[in-house]
Amino acid sequence: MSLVYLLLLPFVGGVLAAVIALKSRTWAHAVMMIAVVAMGVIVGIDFGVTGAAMASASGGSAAASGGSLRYLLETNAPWIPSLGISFHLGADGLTFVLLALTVVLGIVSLVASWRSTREHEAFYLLSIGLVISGVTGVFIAADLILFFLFWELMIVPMYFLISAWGGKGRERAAMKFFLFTQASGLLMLLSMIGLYLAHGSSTGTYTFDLAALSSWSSGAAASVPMVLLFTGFVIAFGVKLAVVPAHAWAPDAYAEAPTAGSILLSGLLLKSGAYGLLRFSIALFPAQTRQIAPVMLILGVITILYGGILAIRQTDIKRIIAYSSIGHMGFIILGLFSWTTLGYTGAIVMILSHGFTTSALFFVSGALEDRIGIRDIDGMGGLRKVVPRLAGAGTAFLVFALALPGTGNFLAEFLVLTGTFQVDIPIAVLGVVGSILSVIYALRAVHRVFDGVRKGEGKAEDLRAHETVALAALAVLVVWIGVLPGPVIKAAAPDRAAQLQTTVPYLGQGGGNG
Amino acid sequence: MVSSIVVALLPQIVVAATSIVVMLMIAAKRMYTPSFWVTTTGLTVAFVVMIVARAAQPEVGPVSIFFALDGASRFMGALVLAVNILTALLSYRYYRDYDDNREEFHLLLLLETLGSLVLVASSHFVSFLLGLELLSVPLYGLLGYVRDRDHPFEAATKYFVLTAGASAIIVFGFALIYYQTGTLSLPELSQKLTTGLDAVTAAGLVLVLAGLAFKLAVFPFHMWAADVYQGSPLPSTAVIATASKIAVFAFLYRFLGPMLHPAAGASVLHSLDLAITVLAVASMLGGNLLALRQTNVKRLLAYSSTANLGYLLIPLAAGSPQSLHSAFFYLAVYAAANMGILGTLTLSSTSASESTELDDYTGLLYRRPVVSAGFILMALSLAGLPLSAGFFGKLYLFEAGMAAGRWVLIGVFVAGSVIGLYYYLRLVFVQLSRSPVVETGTPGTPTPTALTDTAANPGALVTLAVTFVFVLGIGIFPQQLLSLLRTVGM
Amino acid sequence: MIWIIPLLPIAGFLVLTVFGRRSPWQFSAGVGAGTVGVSAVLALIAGFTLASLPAAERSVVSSLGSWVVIPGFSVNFGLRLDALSDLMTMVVTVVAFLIHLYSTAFMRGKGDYHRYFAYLNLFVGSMLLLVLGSNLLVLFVGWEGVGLCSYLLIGFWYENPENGRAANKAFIVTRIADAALLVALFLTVAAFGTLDIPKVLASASAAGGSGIVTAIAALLLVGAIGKSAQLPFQLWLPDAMAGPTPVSALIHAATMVTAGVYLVARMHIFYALSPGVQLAVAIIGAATLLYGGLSALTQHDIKRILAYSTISQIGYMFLGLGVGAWSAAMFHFMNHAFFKALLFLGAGVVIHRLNDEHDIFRMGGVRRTDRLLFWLFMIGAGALTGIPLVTSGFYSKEAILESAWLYPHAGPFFWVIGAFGVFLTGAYVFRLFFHVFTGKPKGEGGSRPASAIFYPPMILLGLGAIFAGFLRTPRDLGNVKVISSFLNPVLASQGKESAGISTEATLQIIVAALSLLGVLAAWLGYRRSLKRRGTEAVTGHELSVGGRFLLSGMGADWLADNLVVRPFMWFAGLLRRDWLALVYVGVGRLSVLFHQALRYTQSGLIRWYLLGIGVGVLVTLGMVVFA
Repeated sequence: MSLVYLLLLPFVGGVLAAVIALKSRTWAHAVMMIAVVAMGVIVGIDFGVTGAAMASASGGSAAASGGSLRYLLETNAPWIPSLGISFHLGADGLTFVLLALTVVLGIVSLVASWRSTREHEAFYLLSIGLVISGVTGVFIAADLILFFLFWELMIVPMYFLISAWGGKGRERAAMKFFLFTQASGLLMLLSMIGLYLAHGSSTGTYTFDLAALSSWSSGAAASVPMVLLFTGFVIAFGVKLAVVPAHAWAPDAYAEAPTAGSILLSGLLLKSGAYGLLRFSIALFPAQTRQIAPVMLILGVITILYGGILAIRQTDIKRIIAYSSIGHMGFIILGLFSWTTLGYTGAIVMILSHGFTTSALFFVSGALEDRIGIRDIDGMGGLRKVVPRLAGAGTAFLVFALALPGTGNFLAEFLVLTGTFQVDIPIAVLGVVGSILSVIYALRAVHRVFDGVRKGEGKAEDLRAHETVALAALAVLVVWIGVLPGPVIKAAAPDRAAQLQTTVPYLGQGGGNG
Repeated sequence: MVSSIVVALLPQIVVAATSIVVMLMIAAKRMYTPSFWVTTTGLTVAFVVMIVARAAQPEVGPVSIFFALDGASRFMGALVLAVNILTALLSYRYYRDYDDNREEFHLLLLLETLGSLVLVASSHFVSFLLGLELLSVPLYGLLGYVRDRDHPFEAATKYFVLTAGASAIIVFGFALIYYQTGTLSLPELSQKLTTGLDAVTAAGLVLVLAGLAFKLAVFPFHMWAADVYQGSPLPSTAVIATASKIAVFAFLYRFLGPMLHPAAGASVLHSLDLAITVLAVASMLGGNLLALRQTNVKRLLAYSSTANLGYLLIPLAAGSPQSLHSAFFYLAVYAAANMGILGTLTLSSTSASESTELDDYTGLLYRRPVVSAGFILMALSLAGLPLSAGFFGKLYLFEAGMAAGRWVLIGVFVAGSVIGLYYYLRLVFVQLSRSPVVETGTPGTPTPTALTDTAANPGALVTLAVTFVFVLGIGIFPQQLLSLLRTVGM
Repeated sequence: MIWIIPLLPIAGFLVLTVFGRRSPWQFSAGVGAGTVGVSAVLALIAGFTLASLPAAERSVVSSLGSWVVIPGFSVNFGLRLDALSDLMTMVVTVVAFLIHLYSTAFMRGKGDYHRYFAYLNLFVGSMLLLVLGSNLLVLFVGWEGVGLCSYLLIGFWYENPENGRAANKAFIVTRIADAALLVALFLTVAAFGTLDIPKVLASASAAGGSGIVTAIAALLLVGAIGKSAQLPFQLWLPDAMAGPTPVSALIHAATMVTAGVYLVARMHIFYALSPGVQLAVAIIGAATLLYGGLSALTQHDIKRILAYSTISQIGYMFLGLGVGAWSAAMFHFMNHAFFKALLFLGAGVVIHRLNDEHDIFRMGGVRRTDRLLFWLFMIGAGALTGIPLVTSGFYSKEAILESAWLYPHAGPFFWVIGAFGVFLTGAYVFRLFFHVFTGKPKGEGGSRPASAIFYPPMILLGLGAIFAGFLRTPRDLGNVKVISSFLNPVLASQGKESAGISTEATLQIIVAALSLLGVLAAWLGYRRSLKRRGTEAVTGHELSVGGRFLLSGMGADWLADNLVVRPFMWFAGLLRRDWLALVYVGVGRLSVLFHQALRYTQSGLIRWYLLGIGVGVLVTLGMVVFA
């Protein structure tokens, strides 16, 4: 039942905040914040309660249960029986990890929008609440149609955020964003229906329930139609992850969205794509995943390189971040489609640390824009003198973004590439090249923005206390993921590991502790 | 026996009676408000009766050779009545300050309703022709009702000339069919055709199909739609956008459905199937592309209707009972969304002046949040987004099409929907956009005319409320409507 | 226990970043120097306890628990203290501590005091992680951390964009090399299923020489030469002196550039197993030591000279590793740490006294103003050159050269290069020395007073620069073997031990002579330049073509710029518009085109519409009737 609360809290909070915002924006923000924090508390409690259960459940039984999912927490109610659609929510370790991410980034996005005043606060907060609800729904939906429903639901308020509070090119950006995600979403819908029909015609029971379909299709052999169905999903998720060449919507959307929008977009909406891939590839299409892996690995590495190279010569700071995060999404693709325990774990770590890093970067760039009114790095320079704390934060997170060892980004890239290396050496090597690119653009950005002496008379307010705290917290999280990934891995990985390929050393005894 | 017929035909009878009453009232003394109330009550009663009758005797077989009072006709009849009630509500404030004869509007509306009711139930060519003319003739009047503006007159004329032609085509088509098969009753016809199909009958079928396609503004018979939608007064637009479409589509289904059913004769299936498919594809692409850059909401709705009728041809081509349900479901949802949008437009329009340009609604969300929310929901429903009935409409159509393996149609459907998103989202975007600019009244941006004052058209508000509840409700709990449709047969 | 050593400086870094801004300079100085000092003491204690143990068990492992545990792969936070890592640790901590001490005075009034010490601590901490890490992942963390800190410190004075550029250069160049190291890690995991160094070494030697082992060795080597600024990755080091002078001391002496040497020594079994790669190590070392020596000859920036000399000296260490003289290489590393730190700190004092003057031709007569500095610098220069018998440099170079002579593949050739390098060393460093210290003060001679805190560290380093040498002396000169026997359990030296006393002696005498000749040459050159130019300064243009060529580091930067950087940036600029995305714009345009085409049919004319209907009827008719 508490899953339903998770779903409702941000929404209700948003509505309340909207009502209050007509009186006082501070209180409205406070209410919204409380709602998200409360959500966090529930997530924590649920995980604490079910954690023990999972600890006992994980391990051997996973191998036996094949592709079928084992939820730690479930809510199931009939919804549209005549179409085989049920209101089925479920949460397992991976879900909880992502819910935690949702809560954190929700809070960050609120902090980010605390300072700058804007028109129509009420509608703004409502939209944010809706986005968070939608994302939560995506993470806990255990019925395909329900999943699709939330998938679209999180797009609409994001469209509102961009088109109502976006930058100059907001109409184009919002439209692009919507058309891309929708078009690909429709393909996914077709695949869902196709799966539904295939399952129905073979078993006689027509249902969209993930668990039911999973236990059927994960056993199903790798056949052409199944691959087509999977492709439908992959396209939808690939577009959401902004995998090249389906990335075209992302830079505009990131650049034009308001800060909070960019944070939610890059931190959560993208991750919903990654989540979809992890979830459905394992639960529904294990065989097909391996079938299309060669293509996806190539696409993934192209994404890494393309994003990295394009980030180098951008002048709009938000576009630099956008392309860099596109590049990083390539690692998630590699990680999953390497189909190794290492790669899979790496992908999960990447989801988290990229979420924290990129949202922090958008936070910083937003703060910069608030203060000096531009996003073009040619107009910046010498800011380290003017706003030391902001500059420190910017430098720190850009350095994190280039996968500095000790951060989650490094651990993720290392695991992903090590996993990939065992499957396809050239791809892994190219991936390393990609990480060099990230160094180049990150340092270039730091240099152009913060080094030198400020042109003209530069006075600007440095980070405020709450902003500093938020950024510091994010930094801690990034390092924490990088240094103590244990809990995350334990929570998210083991029950998948069964199907994934583990490391088999060429020579030496191997497998030992290092 | 007789009683059962009477009960079965009660709705039609009620509407007819009401129209006579209104006519007499006008003859006696012109009273706008009373005649409005009489009309609305009459329609509502008919609506209730339709439902009750349905509950009382679920299935009456063919009452006569003329009428098939089955689930389908009742469902569609109820739908027709519903939209006409809403139209009546819209019209009240719209025509209140019209300084010419206003009461005939209600009369025409009632007659048109009667025609639609006959049409949805007719199982015989004669009753069909009766219904069709009973629908079309009042429409001329409705479309041109506002005489002191010249657009309505233009619209009426165009519709008159073209629809006359279309009717002629239909009649000729039936003549051919009769010449070959010697029957005018649809069940017999489809019976006869199972054996095989000769060129002449085929030609006849196509001519009828073409005529109906014209009424439904299917591509390439769609050209009149935009001008007529735009030119006619809003309540009449509502009629032509909803009631007439529902009625004609219902008949189309009754006419071709059996022939396209897998059980039907192969040759019929094959040849008609091709025609339907091509028309569907053309409509889905043509309609959506035409609507792409439209800045006038009415024209936009006209083109989108072409596209949506294209979608509705998919289940017809799929031709299974389940696809019938998906078609009806979609039609109901589509009609509701159209009604909602037209209601919103009517809110700030009168017979004297209408605000139907996209820019009129710039920043509406911040001026009239509630109204705007309704408008946005309708747009999203047409775009087929979740939590709106439109989503399940599309889902259901997809399922029907895919179950029948109509991949081409489904593919075009997806493409069309994506194009459609563009202009439906423009409807949303204008309401969200440039609000700060408007508030500070910066020159260069068109200052919106619509709904700047708080003047409200209660009828339109009711319409909006009803459609809002319907679209949202079905969007969240479609089960009721679905299980209702399960019982609908033809 | 071992963990405290690296964690102390890192803790210092954290404390300084959080509280540094608001606290007085004494606090920053105390935390900065204090933490490193304590870990220096701990390192020494650890060292002696380790030395007291029997050779067999001279290795202590301590783990802070597991880092990543995945089915089929796991890594933990393991540190490993054995002879090699212990030697490194001691040198690093001690030298670093002295540099910290020096900095407390040197950085006063230069701004961002706390930031400086924070970075410096992180630098030392990372280096300690690097040398102590018991698995390659921990090592890599230190490896990159060192790179980061060098980046931060080189660009420390950010207001001059040039410094930022130099910092970026350092980080990017090294990072490119690190890519190879990363791949080596992947390959190691794929090959051995673990990153734990002892296990890897064990399984490697068990598996014997193979393609994979060779590949790993080669990849590791690329990473190593990147960090150690060996050819062709030397690019970044000369510019790296954009940072504060003590930082240069730290980078050149203790932390950054010696990492590569350590890595090769640490993984030496791989090189023993793949002779080809080992030969490559020797060749790179030899080439680099020549390159550095020659390029240093015509520099006139005091720090650039020292930078090139570092390149050259690291070249010696690589030569040593290449010829299998592991312990000799480490020995030279230790000595180099002392005298190079001494030289840089001395240079720092000079620059400080002469109001931040860097050009040696604008200097002179410092001997008169600062006698102590004169002697200290002379010790440093002497040790660098390897003045026979009295300096550490002599013994370590001698050790390397001896093994070079014995090296089976073209050993004598390598020996000749090394010996010539000794001559060059003497020439360039004493050229600097004479220009700076002898003669009369030049320029606006206003001499800034030097702080008393400058000297104690330099004196200690000076003692190191002399006496460290006696820890290992050749057989004909006492035959002390402290270092080699200490390192033996880890780095069992390879190849034969001796070429017979007589040959050794002759070789030593030749080398000694060459070093003195170098000094002489420097003196003559100095006299000539005085005669020719009198007192006014020299600039690059007055040099001969060859001189300018050397001055530009043999045009290495030019090549890199035109062959790599420019083309790449051009390519990136080419892509920057994101052409792929324009495809979709095209699709959009296309549909709008269709839209407009269809709009034409909407003419509003009834006859036109009738035509449409007619066409429609005919088409459908056609389809049905003739289908």
